[in-house]
Amino acid sequence: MTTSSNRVVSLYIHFPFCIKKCAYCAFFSEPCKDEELKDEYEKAVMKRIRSLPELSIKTVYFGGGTPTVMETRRLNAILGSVFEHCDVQSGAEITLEANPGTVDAEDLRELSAGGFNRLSLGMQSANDKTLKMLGRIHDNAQFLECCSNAEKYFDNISVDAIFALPGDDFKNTIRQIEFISPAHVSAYSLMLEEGTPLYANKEKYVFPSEAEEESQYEALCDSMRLHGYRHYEISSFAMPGKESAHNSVYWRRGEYIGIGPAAHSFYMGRRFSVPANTREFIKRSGSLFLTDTDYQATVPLNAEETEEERIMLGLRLADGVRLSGEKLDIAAKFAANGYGSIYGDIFALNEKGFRVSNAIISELI
Amino acid sequence: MYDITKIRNFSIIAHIDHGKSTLADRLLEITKSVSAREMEDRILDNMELERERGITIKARAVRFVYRAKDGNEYVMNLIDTPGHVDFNYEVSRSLKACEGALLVVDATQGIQAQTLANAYLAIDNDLEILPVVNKIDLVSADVDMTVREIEDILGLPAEDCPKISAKNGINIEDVLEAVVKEIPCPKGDAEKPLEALVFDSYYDSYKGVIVYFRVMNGSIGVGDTVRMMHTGSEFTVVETGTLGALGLNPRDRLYPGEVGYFTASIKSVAETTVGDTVTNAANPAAEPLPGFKKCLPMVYAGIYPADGSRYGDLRDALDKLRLNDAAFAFEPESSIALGFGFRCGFLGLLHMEIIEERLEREFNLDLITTAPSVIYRITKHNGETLFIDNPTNYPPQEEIESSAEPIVKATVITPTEYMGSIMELCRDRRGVYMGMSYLDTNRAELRYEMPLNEIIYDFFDALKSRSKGYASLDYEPKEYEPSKLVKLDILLNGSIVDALSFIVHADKAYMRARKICEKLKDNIPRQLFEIPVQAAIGGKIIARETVKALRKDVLAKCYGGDITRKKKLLEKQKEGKKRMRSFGTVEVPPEAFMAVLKYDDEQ
Repeated sequence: MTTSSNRVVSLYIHFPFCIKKCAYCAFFSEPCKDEELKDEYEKAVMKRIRSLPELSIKTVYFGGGTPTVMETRRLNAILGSVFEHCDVQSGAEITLEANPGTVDAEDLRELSAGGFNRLSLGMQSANDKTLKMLGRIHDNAQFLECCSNAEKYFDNISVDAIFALPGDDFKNTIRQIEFISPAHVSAYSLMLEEGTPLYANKEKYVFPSEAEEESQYEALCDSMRLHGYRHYEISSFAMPGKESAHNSVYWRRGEYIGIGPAAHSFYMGRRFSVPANTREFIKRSGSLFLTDTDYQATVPLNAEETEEERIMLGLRLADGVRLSGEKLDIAAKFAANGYGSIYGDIFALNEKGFRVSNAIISELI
Repeated sequence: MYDITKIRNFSIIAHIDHGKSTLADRLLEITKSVSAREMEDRILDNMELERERGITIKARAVRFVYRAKDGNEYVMNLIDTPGHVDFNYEVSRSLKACEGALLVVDATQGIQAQTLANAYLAIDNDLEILPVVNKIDLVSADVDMTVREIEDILGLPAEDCPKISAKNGINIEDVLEAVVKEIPCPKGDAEKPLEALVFDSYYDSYKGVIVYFRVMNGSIGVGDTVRMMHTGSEFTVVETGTLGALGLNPRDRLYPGEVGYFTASIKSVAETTVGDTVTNAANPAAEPLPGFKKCLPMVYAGIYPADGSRYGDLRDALDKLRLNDAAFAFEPESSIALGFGFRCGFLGLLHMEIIEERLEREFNLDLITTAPSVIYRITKHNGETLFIDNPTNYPPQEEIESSAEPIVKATVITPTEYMGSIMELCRDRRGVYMGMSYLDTNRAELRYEMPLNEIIYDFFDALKSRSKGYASLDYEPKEYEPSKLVKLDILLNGSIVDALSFIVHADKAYMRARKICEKLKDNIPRQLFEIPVQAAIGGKIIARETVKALRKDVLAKCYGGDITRKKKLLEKQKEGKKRMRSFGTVEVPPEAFMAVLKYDDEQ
């Protein structure tokens, strides 16, 4: 089934289960202790994989939720069916999101043996008090243990961190990142989203001022630079060659197919998603390719939308985007004011520009 | 069958929400003038906006027949009146067309400022006033107290007046019987030259202007050539008739005491102003009916389309509104900040709000309105006198010999517990205390003379907030008085934004300047550079705030390839940008203009 003319896509598989929901999380997931449901979900995902046409898979990403709630044997079985059914390119980046407290050394060994070659660990903070406030199930000791186990089997580890948290010592988190020196770091400022427990209780907390938040961000950027990381994307730092290939597909408008409730796809020029309902997903898992999504209801992006996306997504990358005409002139003004650089007809934001990227992007689209 | 002794012409006067419209509905229902289903759309209040505000903006009239207990059929003409001080003159014309008025008082609230103002207006017009106590079935109703108030404050016998619930249809017939017995029939002579009083008119796209009138003497019929005695316009009557609950009922001729309409292919309501006298061109009356007044705008503001390309649409919309509103005036103006728009004149703030809302709702326009202004009188050193309704035309301070501003007589009725706070507010708004009286143990009437310019900003809102909504306000223009005025300019990033300039009393300038700068600071979104916001009088900066540069505007998390959230956010940002006005490099949203129009009552 391997031919060089196959369409090249990335594959995202969503696992909507969590042991419990984190206080800040607004994404689609639900608590799950039901073994039967996990079995059904595994079968459903495998059915969707089997429904895929012949594709050349560039990267695979198991995200959630908490994929590791599914347990190692199921994850390996699902990845196995990807290998079996699809043409996975050699050397493809295959990422698994794992939360400390849900995997032990043996799991990590098996997952590595099963074909996963990149691990994304949800550290979030090195401070136990903060972890508790965020409603995480792990403490920092568990994270460090998980990390040292992971290092035995994975040489491509990413850790997630959150800054701008109330009452948090972010310097301590930075020191810990320096200490474990992962290949890749994703760092986000806390977003208070409506409907989350944190939002409901927001009056109880003192959130850092804008200046404090800025100094945390700057401290992180400085540390990363000093330790050889490249701030290659708004919220991502990587050692050379360790940039996330999967996420780069998103930013560079490569195509990807999402499997699982609430999973998004960009395929054949259209953006569409699977309805955010686990039962419904399972029920419709036997249907034909794309019929579990709202693909039919969408229309291909037009030239204007395509161009806006290219700029919006491209400006997330330190590599920047190619601009022309009036837009290049506007960009030159931003560059002159210290928000980025112009290289020929390419405009790229710097770290100061990343912080206000929306304001800049909305001038360019 | 025309019989002048069987005609009763009356109005209903009441404070907002005291049940005027509901009572009108019941009267029509009980006389079977409309079916219950037809009642669903409230007939007398037929503008959507009116229904929502619960007030009648423009007068309307309706004719129905009541078979009284004496066995006779009476023709009833109910002439509705607008209930707000902005429309005082129109109320007085409607009352002039009647012999009597029902004074509806809410038994749970008693007499309010508007009740009083309208009752006095009715008394001034020699009307027979019939008190009606409404909402008697509510738990909080105090009927005896209300009766006592009517007797004590207005000096009207109220012991035997109808006590009703308009909402639940209780004792409605009592009202009609009282109208028959207490309100005199009209007087008039059909043989005299025609004298008919215009009390309303509106534009209909098929028939042209429909003129509502009451015949005082003489008669009017199809084919007559009539003359409007004040405007001098002459028309040949195309159609006349009476005003049914559900539409016009054509009839060939109307006689003294009757209320009806005529059409004559008239193109604009400006030719048929309220209060004018219609007479027969061939056999004219010697004198017009007394009391005509040209309705003059008292409050002016600039109205601009938020999207400059919709200037033409705005002009068309204003033209259409003016067809139906003789009191509303506008002329083109331009602003450096806002581009092309219109200087509009209104009777008062409510009138202004209504016009704005209608422009936005009925014509789907997004507007930017400048601070409202009264008409100031400026005398220059060279003796020249200017009337300034637009700060842009305010002469440089050094050319001004003296300035004057319009003063009104304001009456506030409030529960006594809020009196202190309200007196403080009035003093704060440069009010001169003229006296007070207790209406009863709980309520007082405060009388002030106050500059109109202090009322047009947010006096009414402040009054309501200080009295938990209980105080009511009425005002009437008095005269011009000398005043120390200055023009305050607002600068963004160092440049004057002409649309934000306004004229203010010198003693108030510093406080207003500081507040406006603060408000602008809070309402101008942060941009990628720092923006100074300054207020100045004649080049001297008196207040300053700074909109700090934007430091964070990023939605970093882009999960599992879901870029839709980010896209939506950016689209919103882009949409928001379209609505912004650019002043040099500074972008200002319409809300910022709105915000400076209302200064909070800091309590």
